[in-house]
Amino acid sequence: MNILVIEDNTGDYYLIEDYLLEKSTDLQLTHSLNFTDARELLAGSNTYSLIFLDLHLPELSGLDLASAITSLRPGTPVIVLTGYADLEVARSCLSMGVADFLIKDEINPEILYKSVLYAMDRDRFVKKLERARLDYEHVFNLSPQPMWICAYPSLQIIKANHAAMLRFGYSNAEFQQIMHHDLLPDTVDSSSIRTFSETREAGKPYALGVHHLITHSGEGLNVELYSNDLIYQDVNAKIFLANDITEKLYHQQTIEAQNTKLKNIAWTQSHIVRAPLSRILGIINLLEIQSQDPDELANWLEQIRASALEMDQIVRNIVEQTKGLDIKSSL
Amino acid sequence: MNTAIIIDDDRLFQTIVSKMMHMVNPELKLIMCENGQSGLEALANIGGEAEMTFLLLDINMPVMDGWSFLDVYGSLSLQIKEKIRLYMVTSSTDPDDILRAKENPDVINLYIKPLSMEDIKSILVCT
Repeated sequence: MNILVIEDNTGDYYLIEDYLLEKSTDLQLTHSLNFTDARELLAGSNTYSLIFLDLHLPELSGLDLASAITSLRPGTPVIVLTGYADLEVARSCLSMGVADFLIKDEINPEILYKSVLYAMDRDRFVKKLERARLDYEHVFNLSPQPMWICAYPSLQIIKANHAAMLRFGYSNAEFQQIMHHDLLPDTVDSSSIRTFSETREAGKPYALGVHHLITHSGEGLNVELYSNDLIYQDVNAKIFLANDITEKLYHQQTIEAQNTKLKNIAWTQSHIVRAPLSRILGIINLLEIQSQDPDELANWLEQIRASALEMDQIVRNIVEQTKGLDIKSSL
Repeated sequence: MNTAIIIDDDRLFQTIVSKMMHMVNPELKLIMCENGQSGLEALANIGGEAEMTFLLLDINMPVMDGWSFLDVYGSLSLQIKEKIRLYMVTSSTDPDDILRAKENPDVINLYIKPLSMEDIKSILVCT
């Protein structure tokens, strides 16, 4: 474990070194005599698990010094060393992320070691919490489904995830400047959202139905909207998920349009094609029953031809109609 | 005298059917109508003169189609209807049309065009 000790008093440094090595031999100590050296070391690539900091250095001291060190290595636990005179300042340091403070005159190996262990444990715990927080934030931010969070009941958008920004074209800052109903104008009075909250127990959880969403570029999308209640950063909020079904609806409409065309063709088959066909068959029935004189026979043949030509034209029309079943041209 | 009213916008069908009907019954009086509207007028004109009236009704016609004709016909009195035998004739093989015709109590039967001599005979069976 690497420990940096920033201490201008060499006597104090050796004391600390002795105490620490008495408790553990697995320590590498680096000594820095002043702030300038310390700053150089902390700006470098060395990693330190812990920093001891004397609050009185020649160039800098007190809160300014503590804040300068913590900001050079955020996340590295800092233990402040001080005298009785600076007790108040040392206490204030704790609120700036300093892990602990020790009064030089009271230090013994036991106290020093306990403070180190405590600072390291606390550091591990804080880092674990931070990782968990990041994991959950990733679940939201990196979800492939567009999601956003609104304060409730104001419906002011607090935060949107990457998929929402990408799909709807608003930046995170732009999201925070628009209201929920700018995004979804048909939920303008938020009554559908309120009704939803009241009817949730009735067994229709989450789903808000299909709504019209306006993107940054003014494009209208059809989205299936889902919502749930949550407390976000200590305020009542709702999380929304929008499932873009614009494409799906487009295909559905295409299929419906094709269905209509197919029905029309079937109707034509049944009604229009059979009209001249039944006429031809009718004439044949008649000719079979009664022999006709030549003039009349010629007339019937002409009628058969006319009906056959009519049928031919109808079949050609059906072929034309079938060509129109192409997806693009049917809408 | 028995009468047949053929309500159909297809002139050729009218000609063929009237020729075939006259083969079965040369005495039959024939009235041609091009749509349901003129069919209703013809029905009103013959009044009580005819002994028996055979009505052949097409489905798809301009002005008033077969279904609209049936709506009006359904409201006529039984006294008028008892001397009328109504048949539907269509070139359609649409099952919806066939079912709808069968469900109508005024329609005795539905024939798919063309009509055979046997069809004509069964229509004019009373003569």
